[in-house]
Amino acid sequence: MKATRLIAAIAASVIAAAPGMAHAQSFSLPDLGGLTKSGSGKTSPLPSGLGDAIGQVKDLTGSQSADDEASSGAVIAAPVFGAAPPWRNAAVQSYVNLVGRNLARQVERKDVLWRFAVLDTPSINAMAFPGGIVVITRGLYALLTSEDELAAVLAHEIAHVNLRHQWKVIQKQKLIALAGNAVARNDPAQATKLVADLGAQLLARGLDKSAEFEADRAGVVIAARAGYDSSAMIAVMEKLNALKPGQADTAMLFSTHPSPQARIDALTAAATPQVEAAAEPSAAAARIKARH
Amino acid sequence: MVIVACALLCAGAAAADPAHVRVAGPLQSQPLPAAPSTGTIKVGAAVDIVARKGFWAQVHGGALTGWLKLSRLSLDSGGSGNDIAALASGRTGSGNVVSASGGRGLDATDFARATPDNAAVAALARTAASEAAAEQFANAGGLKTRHLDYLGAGGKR
Repeated sequence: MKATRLIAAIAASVIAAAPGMAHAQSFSLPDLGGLTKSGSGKTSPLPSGLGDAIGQVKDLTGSQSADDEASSGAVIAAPVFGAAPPWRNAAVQSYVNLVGRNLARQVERKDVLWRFAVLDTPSINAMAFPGGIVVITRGLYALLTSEDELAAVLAHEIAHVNLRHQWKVIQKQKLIALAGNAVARNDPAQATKLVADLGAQLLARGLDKSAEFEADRAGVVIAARAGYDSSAMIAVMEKLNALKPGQADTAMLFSTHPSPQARIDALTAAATPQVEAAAEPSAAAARIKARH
Repeated sequence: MVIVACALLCAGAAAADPAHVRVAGPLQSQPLPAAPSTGTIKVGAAVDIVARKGFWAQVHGGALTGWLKLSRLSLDSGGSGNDIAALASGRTGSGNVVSASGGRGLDATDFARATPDNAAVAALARTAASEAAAEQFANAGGLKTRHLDYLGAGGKR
């Protein structure tokens, strides 16, 4: 089973309505880790009749295909957009796309179609999907008071994609092999379901803490390379720290990420003099004020 | 300039934030590694954070006042950061009624229950910014790119 066949089938069945998305994309998900392990309480039951297929097909481990990544990312993002639609504010959507796309100029990967969206929910969170879809909630967006802070959040998510954090996790899961087998049986709907199940588990668990810390460090550098305040992520973390831990709006964020204090500690400990020297508000810091 | 920066970054810090020192070492006269030392502070010393700038905090403890990296401090508030709460509420403009909504937060079960919206995902390609537009946007904002290496995980102070 070739990964490209799997993805082609998924793409045909799920994102056929996405002109221009079929090529030159790739996506990565955050590091979820052990998605199919028993005892999680969140694992999807294996489809009947497919259990025997484990081991009979190759999984996507090692796939370098950007199309594989992008197609899986679209599948995984779809239920998120179903739960929280894009905010109907064209000016903000355009603004966030410009800030995000400019940040993405500072990373190594050039095989990604970067797409950004603000989701209409008061929840406070941001997420990246394999293939370059990055979302930030309206709740988090409203907490941000400078373009530097917006850049800090988006750069963290861009780093996840650049590092293929989520994609690497997905590639390790046995369900992805089952999805490949479903494609072999000419059952793209089942393949899509399996990928979607994987995505749901990924979203519920989040990535390993080490991946989050790595994205924090990389994000600070990406934002600073683009000309933004390297300490803006600290300011964002301190705002998150000030929120009530039991607040429902932040429950998912805090369950899938290290504590803001731990992230502040790790960032300040890792910062080099060069990065610290970039800790000044950018010339564009106030630009966000017209977009609230 | 320093005063202006502090006004921006430390807006809520009028009431000093209590903290304890968890990594001993020198305090600096400015938030710079090479700035002159104003003294040495011990592990466990109780201090008040009187200002912040970037990765640094200015603390006052006993007869000592000086700057140190935030990572050398442990906030007594357990990280609740009341000063930052004030800062956040003070700096958010109208329409930013977010965390006060009291609404139930989005979580993974919502995603599992939701009907996948493939059309919304597909539409993202139409609103994506081009690289050229992004570059123009950066230039219009006066952003100046920098050459910086990625950070390692190791603590470097």
